Amino acid sequence: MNEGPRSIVIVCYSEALSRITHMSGTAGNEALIWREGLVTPRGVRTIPALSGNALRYRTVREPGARWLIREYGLTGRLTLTQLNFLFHGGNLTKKSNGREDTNRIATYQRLFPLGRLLGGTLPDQILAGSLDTWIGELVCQENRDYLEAVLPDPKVLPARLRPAESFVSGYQYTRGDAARTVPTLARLKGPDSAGSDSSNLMIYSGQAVLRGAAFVHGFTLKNVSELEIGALILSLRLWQAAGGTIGGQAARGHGRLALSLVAGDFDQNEAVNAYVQHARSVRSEATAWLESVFARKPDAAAEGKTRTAPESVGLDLENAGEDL
Amino acid sequence: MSIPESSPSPDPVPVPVPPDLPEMDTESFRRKLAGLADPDRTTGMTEKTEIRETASRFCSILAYLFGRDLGRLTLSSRIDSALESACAKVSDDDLDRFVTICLDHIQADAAQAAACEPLRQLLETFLVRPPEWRQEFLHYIGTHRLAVVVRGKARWDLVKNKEIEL
Repeated sequence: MNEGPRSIVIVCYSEALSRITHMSGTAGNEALIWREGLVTPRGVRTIPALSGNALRYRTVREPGARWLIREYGLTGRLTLTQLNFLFHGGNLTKKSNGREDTNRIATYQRLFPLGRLLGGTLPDQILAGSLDTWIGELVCQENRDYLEAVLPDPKVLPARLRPAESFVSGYQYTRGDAARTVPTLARLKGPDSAGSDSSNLMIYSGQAVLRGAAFVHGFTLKNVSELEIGALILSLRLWQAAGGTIGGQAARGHGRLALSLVAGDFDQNEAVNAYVQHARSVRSEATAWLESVFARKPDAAAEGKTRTAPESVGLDLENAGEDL
Repeated sequence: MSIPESSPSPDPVPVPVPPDLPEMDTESFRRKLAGLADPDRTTGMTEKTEIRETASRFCSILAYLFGRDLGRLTLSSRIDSALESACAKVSDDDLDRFVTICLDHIQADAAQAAACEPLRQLLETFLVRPPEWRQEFLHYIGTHRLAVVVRGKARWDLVKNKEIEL
């Protein structure tokens, strides 16, 4: 176990177990996959990729936050603001009082290693994170230079990889229409009845990255302890255990990835156990911290007060900036 | 308060920790990546041109063998759907099957097909090409179907005008 904070790089290899439909937008009824421009000797190519934003949320923040909530027995007990903080990083909704509450930051980082990793925003303060999430790059010939740069042992790459477009295919589905599938169950008269001409049958289609394709992605953890590494690895494990999906159409079987670790100087079990034990040991404190930081101030209007200068009503000047 | 002290949360049941993430050593990673290797050959411009021209020629042969019971006005759309159907059904490099599906789809007469020397030549060409070429041929038709039909129709017009051989 490493004693002090350190920076490490974790490289992952994720193989598509089903077609991947991480989309960028639509053209008519056709969904287009997310691509990244790449300068090659033969001009600029756009290569299918997985956005760092999606990977960060789906593989780390969401499973990690969900685990904390279940572990702490907080299901059904948090406000939307608290959930937004845990699942989406939170929002800066109040004026900052101009000073950094280092004690509060230190407490937060001690209680929530996952939060220290990802950062976030309290209502009046931004909290820096220490995790850089890489973009998921398709393992293809166009990305060869990149792969050689990031893989721990570039010699594992074959002499020539398949081109990116050989991994791209399409799909097409049809959304049914009750007027055609179950007309006998509809009422016979009136508007929107069995005989009315209100068909909404829709064909929709899109691009997909083929099953069997693979992505290299990773994480750079800056100045972290074993606890943050454990928080990350536990989140990745939870994500995999829950199906390991990325992108859309998971309800139709798309988006499953099988993740393997390729490089990373740490002991998985040691880090995860340390994090789990830590999280369990600070449960009461962490819950109380969440409660206090997001506690609502009494609503002035509801109490019949009118807004006046803080000095005149003797408000706590330290927190005055939050209310004005 | 969002987490009322008056109703303390019940002691939560510890959430099971999922199993280890698999770790790949150099050798297993090399084996994985080997599955993404390009076949040990590259498709040069000459080969691409040959594939494109062969696809056009195949289309013009389909036009020649087009079923007499089918409306001639549907020739291009029927050939297009023949290619689409055959591409969907043939996932290996079996071009004999690909051709058969296309001929069935356009309701070609068996006797006329058997007597069609250009078709026989084409099948012989397919036979001597390497599997990678055959797969590339299918891939090209699958991804450039409409262009293939357009070129095939243009070639068929030249054949009808006796400007070129079928």
